[in-house]
Amino acid sequence: MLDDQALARLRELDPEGVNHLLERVVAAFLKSLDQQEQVLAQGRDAPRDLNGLRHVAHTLKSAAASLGAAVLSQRCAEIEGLARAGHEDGLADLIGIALDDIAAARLAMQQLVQAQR
Amino acid sequence: MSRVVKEGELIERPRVLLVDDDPVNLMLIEAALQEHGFEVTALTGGQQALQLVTQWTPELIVLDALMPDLDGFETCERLRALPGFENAPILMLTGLDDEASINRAYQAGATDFFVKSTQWRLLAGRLRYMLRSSRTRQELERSKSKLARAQDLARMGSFEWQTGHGFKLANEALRVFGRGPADPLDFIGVMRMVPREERLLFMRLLRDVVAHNSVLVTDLPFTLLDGRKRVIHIEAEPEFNEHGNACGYTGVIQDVTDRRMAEDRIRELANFDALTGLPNRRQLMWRAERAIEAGRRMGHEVGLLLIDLDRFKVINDTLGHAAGDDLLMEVGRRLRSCVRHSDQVMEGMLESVGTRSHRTLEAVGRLGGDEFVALLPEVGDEGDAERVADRVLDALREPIFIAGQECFVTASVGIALYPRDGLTMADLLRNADVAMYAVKNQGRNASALYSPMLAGRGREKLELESALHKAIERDELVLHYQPKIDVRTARMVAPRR
Repeated sequence: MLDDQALARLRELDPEGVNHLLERVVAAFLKSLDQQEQVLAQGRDAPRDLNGLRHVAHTLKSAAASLGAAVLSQRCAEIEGLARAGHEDGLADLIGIALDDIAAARLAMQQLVQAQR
Repeated sequence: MSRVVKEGELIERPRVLLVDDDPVNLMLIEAALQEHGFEVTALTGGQQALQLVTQWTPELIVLDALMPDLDGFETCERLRALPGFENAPILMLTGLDDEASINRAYQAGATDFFVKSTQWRLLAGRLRYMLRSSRTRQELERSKSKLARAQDLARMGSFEWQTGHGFKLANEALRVFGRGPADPLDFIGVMRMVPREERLLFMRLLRDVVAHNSVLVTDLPFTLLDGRKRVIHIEAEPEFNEHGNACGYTGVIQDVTDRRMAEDRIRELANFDALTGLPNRRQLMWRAERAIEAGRRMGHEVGLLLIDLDRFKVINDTLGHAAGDDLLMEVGRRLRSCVRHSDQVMEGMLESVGTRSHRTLEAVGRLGGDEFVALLPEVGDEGDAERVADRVLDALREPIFIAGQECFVTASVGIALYPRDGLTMADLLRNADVAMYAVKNQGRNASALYSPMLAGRGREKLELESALHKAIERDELVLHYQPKIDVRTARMVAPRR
């Protein structure tokens, strides 16, 4: 589920694990994910806050990529693209899929942190 | 922190201000930079960053481009407006393929951009590079401002003159001309301040220098817009492009007015009499030697008139030294008008003027006290010299008004001619002196040509004088009385001494 290469790079930043970087980053990710999920969910129905949607998609895109959630990151990039261009067609479907991706990513990360302990 | 630090040799941890609204990214970048030797201060908004830098100065700033509220672009623009942050290294983080953000980053004044990725090592490398170039830049700025200060102090500035780019004076050079940076000068503007005659000479020199790609070194007089007159030293060297072709000149100008004035003053003091402004003994010797040399070369006579005022001591003693000085000044002025006096001659100038240039040596000078000399570099015969002597005596005939009264002053003039009366200046001067003393003995206010007979008489007199001195020393003088005898009575009536 999570991209091994991205996780390896992450671990390089805290090779001994003394800083508990992985746990802290995952915790921060999960924490902001709740709010981001909410904004995305609201974006399924018109009228939409395209700017807010774009912003959340942008942020989530890079955060997800950093933690190896490549599928979610890719989905967010597509949402960001549509929102920036103002194309609302297909946006609702895309967001629906992204919400599933979020659920999957959340689960994978919880498992990752548990395995770490 | 002005040390230039090599890769991998970071001794102190450079201070980085990191701003990103996403806590995940912030945490990751912070960790990555810390791992690579940076000291990171992480903030989640531009507003906080602007507040922090009022009391703390980071060496590097990393801004996420897209943030809610104050985004990276706006933050960057505001940072740039703060004093001390004009050239601070600011890196903008942008998304992949976001060309619009990259362009906006540069427009906002960012030093560079970095596409967000999970390859943190690259970001650290980029930051280190920015830090190094920023430090190099600071060094450069510091050395530039040092140079500017030194140049201002030396009233100096540089200029460039490049084919295709025209003529450009640096700010310090503009200040030499009394102008500010807002008040630029082109080449024509500069030339307009040069008097016409010098300008024509300079343009000729310039054409010659440019034609030969040689070095330009010259001094030029300028009249600045406010009327001040300055002498400016110009030095320029040709520049060559990669093909070895001359492509312009770079050079330095310097205001050397003060130095020039000091030099002129020194030369004046060394060569001219302070009281009368006439050439002094040193300058007269110099001129006479050259006049004699020219006479020898071209086979003409040189005249030397020694002019000594009669009874000057009496005037000095009765009217005071100040009046005596005034008198000498007026006499100097009158004597000057008796010859084709030239003040201009200075060392080294003579050779360039041509074969008749020895005539510019003609002058009246003051040897000292009340002794003047007229040097006539070319006389046809002794009559020429006597005519000048008559002019001198004539010139003094009018009374001189000194210390509230009319004074009559006369002079005794001795004349010696090269080569007849001597081959060196010293000989001529001594013999003119002999002739002058002959005039004094014969009642003054006249002139006389030297003749060996006078010298003989002089020598006899001199010998008698010293013999008498010695006679007193040796007690050789004996007083003899001669009896006066009355023939009628055949008796001595008185002794006769």
